[in-house]
Amino acid sequence: MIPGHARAGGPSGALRPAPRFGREQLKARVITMRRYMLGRVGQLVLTLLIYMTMVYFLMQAMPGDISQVYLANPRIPQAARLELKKQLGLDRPPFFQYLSYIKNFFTGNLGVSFSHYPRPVWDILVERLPRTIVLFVTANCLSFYVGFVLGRIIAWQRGATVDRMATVVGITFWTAFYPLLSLILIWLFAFTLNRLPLNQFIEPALWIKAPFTSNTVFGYMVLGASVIALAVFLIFWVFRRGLRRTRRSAAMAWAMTAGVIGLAIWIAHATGTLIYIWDIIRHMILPVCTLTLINFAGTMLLMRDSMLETVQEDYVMAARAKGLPDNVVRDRYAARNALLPTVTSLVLSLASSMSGGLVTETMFSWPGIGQVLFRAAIGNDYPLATGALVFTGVFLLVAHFVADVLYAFLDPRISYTGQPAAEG
Amino acid sequence: MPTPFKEEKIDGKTFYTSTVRIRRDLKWSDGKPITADDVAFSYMAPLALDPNKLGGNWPGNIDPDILNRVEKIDDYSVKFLLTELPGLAQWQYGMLQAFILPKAYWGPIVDKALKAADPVKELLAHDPAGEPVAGPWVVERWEKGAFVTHLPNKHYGLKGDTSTFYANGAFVLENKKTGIKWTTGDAKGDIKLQVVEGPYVDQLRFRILQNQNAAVLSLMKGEVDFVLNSLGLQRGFQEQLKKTPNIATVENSVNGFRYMGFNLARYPFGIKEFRQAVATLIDREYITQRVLQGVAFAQYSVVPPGNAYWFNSDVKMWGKDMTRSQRIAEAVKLLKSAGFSWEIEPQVDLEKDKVLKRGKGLIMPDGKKMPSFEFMVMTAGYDPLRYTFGLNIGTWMQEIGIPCEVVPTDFNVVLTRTDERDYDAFLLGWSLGLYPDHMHWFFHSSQAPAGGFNATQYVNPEFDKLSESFLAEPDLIKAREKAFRMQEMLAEDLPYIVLFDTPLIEAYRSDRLEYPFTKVLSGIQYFGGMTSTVNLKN
Amino acid sequence: MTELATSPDMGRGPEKQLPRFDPGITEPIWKIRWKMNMRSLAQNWEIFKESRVGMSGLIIIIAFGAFGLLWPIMINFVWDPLIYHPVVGFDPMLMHPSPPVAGHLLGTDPIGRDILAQLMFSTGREFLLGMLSAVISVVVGTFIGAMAAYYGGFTDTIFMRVADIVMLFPFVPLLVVIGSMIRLSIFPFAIILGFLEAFGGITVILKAQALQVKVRPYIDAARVAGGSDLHIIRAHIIPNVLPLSFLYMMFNVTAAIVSEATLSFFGILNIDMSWGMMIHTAETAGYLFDFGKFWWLWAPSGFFITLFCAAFYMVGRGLDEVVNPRLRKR
Repeated sequence: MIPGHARAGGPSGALRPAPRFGREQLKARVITMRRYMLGRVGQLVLTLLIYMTMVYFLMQAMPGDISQVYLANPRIPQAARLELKKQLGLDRPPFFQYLSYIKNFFTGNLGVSFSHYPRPVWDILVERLPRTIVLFVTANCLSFYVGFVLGRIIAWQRGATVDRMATVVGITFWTAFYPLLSLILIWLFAFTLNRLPLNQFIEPALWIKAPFTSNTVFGYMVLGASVIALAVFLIFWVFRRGLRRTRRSAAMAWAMTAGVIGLAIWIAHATGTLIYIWDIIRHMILPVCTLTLINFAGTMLLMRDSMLETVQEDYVMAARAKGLPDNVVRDRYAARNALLPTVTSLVLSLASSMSGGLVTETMFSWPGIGQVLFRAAIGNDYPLATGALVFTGVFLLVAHFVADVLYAFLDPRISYTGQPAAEG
Repeated sequence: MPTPFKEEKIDGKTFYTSTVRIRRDLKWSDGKPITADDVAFSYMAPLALDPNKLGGNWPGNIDPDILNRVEKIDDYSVKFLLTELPGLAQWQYGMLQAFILPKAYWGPIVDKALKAADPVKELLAHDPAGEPVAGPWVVERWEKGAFVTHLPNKHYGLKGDTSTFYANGAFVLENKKTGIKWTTGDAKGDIKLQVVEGPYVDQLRFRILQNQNAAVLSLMKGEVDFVLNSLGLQRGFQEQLKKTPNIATVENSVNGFRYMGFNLARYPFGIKEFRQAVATLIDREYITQRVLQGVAFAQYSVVPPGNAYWFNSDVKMWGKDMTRSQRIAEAVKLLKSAGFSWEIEPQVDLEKDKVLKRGKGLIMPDGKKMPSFEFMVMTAGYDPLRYTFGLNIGTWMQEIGIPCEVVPTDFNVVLTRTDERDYDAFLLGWSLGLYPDHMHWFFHSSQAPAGGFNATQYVNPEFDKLSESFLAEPDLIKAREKAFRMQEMLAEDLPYIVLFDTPLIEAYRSDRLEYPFTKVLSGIQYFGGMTSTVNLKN
Repeated sequence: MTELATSPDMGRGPEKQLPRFDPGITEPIWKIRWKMNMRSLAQNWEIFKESRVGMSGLIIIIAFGAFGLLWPIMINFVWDPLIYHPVVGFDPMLMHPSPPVAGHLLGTDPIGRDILAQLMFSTGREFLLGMLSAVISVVVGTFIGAMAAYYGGFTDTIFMRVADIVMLFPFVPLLVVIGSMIRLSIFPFAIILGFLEAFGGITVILKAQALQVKVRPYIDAARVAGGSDLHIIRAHIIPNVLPLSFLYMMFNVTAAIVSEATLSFFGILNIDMSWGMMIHTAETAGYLFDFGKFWWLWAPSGFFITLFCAAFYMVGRGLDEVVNPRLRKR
């Protein structure tokens, strides 16, 4: 969301390479790993509790409460207002409210929304979640891919015109004023050129007779995409690891991928969801492209920096000296190792987009989590705002955890005590 | 149509009773007729549940203090038993406008709720999907967050109702199909307007768009035919839409006002002349016409001109049509008459309309120098209009030496502080109902303590008496006279300095829609886009 | 990470802790340190100058600074405040919003205020907001990072867990929640922003940097020589972390400006005028959907936001090459 924000696009300051582990240290590594994981889980729960407490008291400190919503109507008497407060549990002392809030959270009860009274907060969030996931996972993956490919190229050709151009263009979009850019793109593509849907996530005329709700279709999309991703990953894993890398095997891998996707489309068609999925995808094009434009530079620059570090490693030099073709060295040797910090940033940005999509969701009328949070905050709907903040906090927390573990598993150079291995 | 109230003694208690007959041609959307059972149920169920606890729309108009019960007489008439004689506010504009709900659907649910530990909670937790309705539309499909579609109600009882408005004020309601006819006044002469109730449209779709740019673009693109936006269309959109073919724009006045209020309990704001001087200084026309270029219009009475029947156009308008220097001279005169003086008195040149000397160091009648006070206005981001107004008012006050400090404040903070009476001056707005009983709530002394609606703490026994008798007044003509008198008193005493309001501008596709009329107080959207009377072209 | 260039240690007055051993140099040690710092600054400047991206960024920032400094001159000597005041100004001679004309080179906004005056007035405020929040974040972040790295153990755990939690807060939504409930004005906003950044990611990164400094031999030497903890942190660790801090400061300026503009765009800050507010004004008045026609209402402010942020970001990129030798040209 925020260009230049430390965790998204800055240089990889914390992630400098350090001396490698010796063989004798491997055993110790397994033990520390388990201890590290356990400790991390413990910290996870503690952090969550502290986070919830902070969110709760932050909300308590805000002025105004729900009874003000009824201030505008003189016909609702004082007694009714007091009664309303009682129903919402606002008449008890704050500390008891806090205790019941914590207790309720662990039983899956986030309270009842004020503005959607009496709908439970949980219900609202779960309704919005699939939409947010589908949009932002797609956008993040796309911008990650674009950034990765571009970063790889410009690092390899550092100092060349391509490098400078891509950097300037990237920084321009990265710092572009997002709401304005999205309005311009909507105006250009959806109105003036009339090529894409203007807003919203589905077309009412099509969906009136739809046998499913949109959330069911979103569910299918998430499921389908995961299955396809898994299948493609397996195919490539088998072909790259198990077989010799030849042109034929690569062609076969691509053919099988096409087959899997084709099969998925056929299944969607057979079950009658294809037109609805296509409708959602059509509506996604504009927001996804806007997000990609804004975000790709972050990954690109990170990838570039990371690549510049790896190209100076011995094994890359060795590969070059062997006389391997330039792009093979670039893609197989340098880029793969440079990927590590970039992947971590992807995991984190995926999680933060759960809530950070406020601007996108408002500009494109995409009713997801970010928008719920925004409306709740504007409308003084404390339970909903608290719920949405905690909900997204949990996502981020888990993502941080996953990123840490991923990092610890993937990179032998990082120790598990949370401090760089440089210390020994 | 209710019969006049009769005094009756039942079981040793005195009741005022009225019999209300119900149209026989109305049906719920499930085809069952609407009967006296439903009507009686709709009043008795909230009474049983205690309307204060229930909150919300349903019981909002039912006053448990005076309504004892509603009895069914026969299938199409009910009798109301009241403990005291109601005024217009409680009867025509209150109880008789309550919602009527189908007993067949809600009866069992309310019964079940009454047995629960917390009846109200139980009832509110009920999901009213599939509830029979009496309106023109039934919900067809609701995709949460995206759209709602409606189909016409096949059993809509008012379909074919012809309302005829005559130029002389008479009104005839007639339904040829069912033979109902109801007339007020002398139905002769020119017909001003005739509306036949539909709906004429075979499906109604509401799309949910989150930003106004997108909404207007889809209107221009033809994806939607009408935009419901409580703020109306802003000026930039208007300019563009007026030039767009096939789009018609409509301007309507709004039932509300923005105003400035002083904390009358604090010295010297309680001094009438002080408020009059401030009101004189405020050049509403300059701001609305020049600075805001017509996006707002000046207002002087606490009843907006749009509410034509109750609006008194004859109230005192402080400083109207005066030049800047005349205003200053007048304000100085008013302040002096109340005993104010200055360290440096402001001076103006009336001929050239120039300020010669700015006022400084206002001294209050008690001899002390007036301390600086805080004037809360909305932030520029929240409401640019009120912000602009506030800044200008502040500048004008400072010009004659009133030490005011304009503080842009968050809306919630303003509400909290006015509610707690912890403020000096503020700028807020109200949106009102048709019947002007808001004057009672805003200015009656019983509402003055913290938490009440009389945030400026205006106390005037004479006004209290008048406003009470206004509320209790059952006769429309007399009520109007009293409302006029109240407006005059308020314009003189100025507990609120009423400033302005904005007209509501709406646009629709004129190539698709045909409205029978577009002059509606608070806009077409006040009636949900008038979906039941609009015609589709081609 | 090797060969960290140190940055100036100005005004820190380390004279009080004069060396415990006499190396036989006649010049006072602060003078030597000063000279060394100046030399390393000059070296860093040379490296920075090599970076075209960084230099263009710096030039743009200087241009912005000059533009912002014009404001007090213009409003006091050239422009009539009644017409050109960025908030309450109003030109009665025109229909608003007016396209660019002689008196208003960039036109006027929907309520008759001069766009150029608003741009100029806001520039100073954006500098103030960006620098204030960035300085807070970097000063606090550097100090905490250095402390956590030097002391380790409990101090370290506490601050790192705090950083975890702060990083857990979804950034923009959190500001939206706070902003929509209590409309923040520019100072509280900058301070909140600064502290959020300070306790979050920046601490973690600066700590990692400080750790690498901590294990250097000269730190041990200083300790052996009897330097107090505070002295070591101040005189040895912090100067070595400073270039990286400075780099993050640049990125934080960008973050602060973009946050302010986004929140202003949604109308949830209590700021009377800023570039974001200018776009907000155009948006709420309904001029932001025909982009060709009313270009002067959105293009200048939108362009300024992007350019300003990009400039700081570019300086950050340039500094990155100073801080990180591997990124330098081979």
